[in-house]
Amino acid sequence: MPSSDPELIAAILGGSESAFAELMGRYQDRIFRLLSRYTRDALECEDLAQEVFLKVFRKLHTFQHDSQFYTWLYRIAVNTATDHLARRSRRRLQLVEDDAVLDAGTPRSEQQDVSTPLIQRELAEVARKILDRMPEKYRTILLLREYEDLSYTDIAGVLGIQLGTVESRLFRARQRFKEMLERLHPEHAPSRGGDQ
Amino acid sequence: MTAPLADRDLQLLDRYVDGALEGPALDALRTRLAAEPALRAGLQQRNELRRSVRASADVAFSPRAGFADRVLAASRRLPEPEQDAGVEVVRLCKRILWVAAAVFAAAMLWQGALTFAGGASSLQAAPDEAQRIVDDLDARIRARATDAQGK
Repeated sequence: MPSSDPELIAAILGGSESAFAELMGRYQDRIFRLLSRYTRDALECEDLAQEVFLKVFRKLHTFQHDSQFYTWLYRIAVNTATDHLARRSRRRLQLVEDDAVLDAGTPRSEQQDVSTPLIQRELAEVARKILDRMPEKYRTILLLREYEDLSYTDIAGVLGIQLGTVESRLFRARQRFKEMLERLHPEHAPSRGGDQ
Repeated sequence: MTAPLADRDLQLLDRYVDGALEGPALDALRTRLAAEPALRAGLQQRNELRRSVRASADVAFSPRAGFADRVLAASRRLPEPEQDAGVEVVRLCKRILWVAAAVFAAAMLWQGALTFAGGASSLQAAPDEAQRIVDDLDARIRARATDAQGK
């Protein structure tokens, strides 16, 4: 019988490894999906995911139960990913903007899915490149909303910001994405609507 | 060519697209959408923009087999769950504040009880009583001074 998150958490705090494994199994796909937006390297993505779950393991006793567990988990994942990007940026070992790096590390699902129409695959690559080049706070809020489908309330919980800030930041992020799309890939820009 | 939409209208459309609009605000927007072609065009553009952003949504890595086992193995090598220093400091500060608040409340209750029981005058000695205490203190001081000189 499936256990609820609070039941699993109580079991983990009581020393149950199997409960921790079950919790990981429940959320690992979501965490990989989120972290895939911050790195193009599969092994790096797995390292980050491992770091996230180890932080969860170490810090679980501090989880207050005043929010959903997945909100807390996403917060750890986003912080881990953005810290990683900041470290990498400082070290200048690998630039996300480097197209050679981007092409070499393209995730499997994008490389192998030949059934996807070409224009859709092109648009997917364009969208990914634009997201890679966006300021971190705009990229993160777009990912949480558009890719993880989190509500405004959940996003506010993950990022620790007010609801009004979620709305305004999300709006600015979309505007930034639109401007970059029109500038870098006008052929993929949305048809001219009421806001030009 | 339609006039550009104001940012507040675009933001309103975003909330609508995100399903974050409800009640009277939702009804009002629907009424405007029925009456304003420019707003409808703006809505179409926001939906297209959203599809563009989501275009790479299915591009993601998957955990390799044995991922959970590797994390479990790593967790066994960790030291005992750490006590977060920041959390401990916050807890300590909270405790100190609670104690201070309790002491303050008790002091206020004591003061209030004194005032209620006898009024402010009960805290003051009568003039003759005060004089007697002062005389008594003077006598003690003189006696000690005399003792000290004798030694």
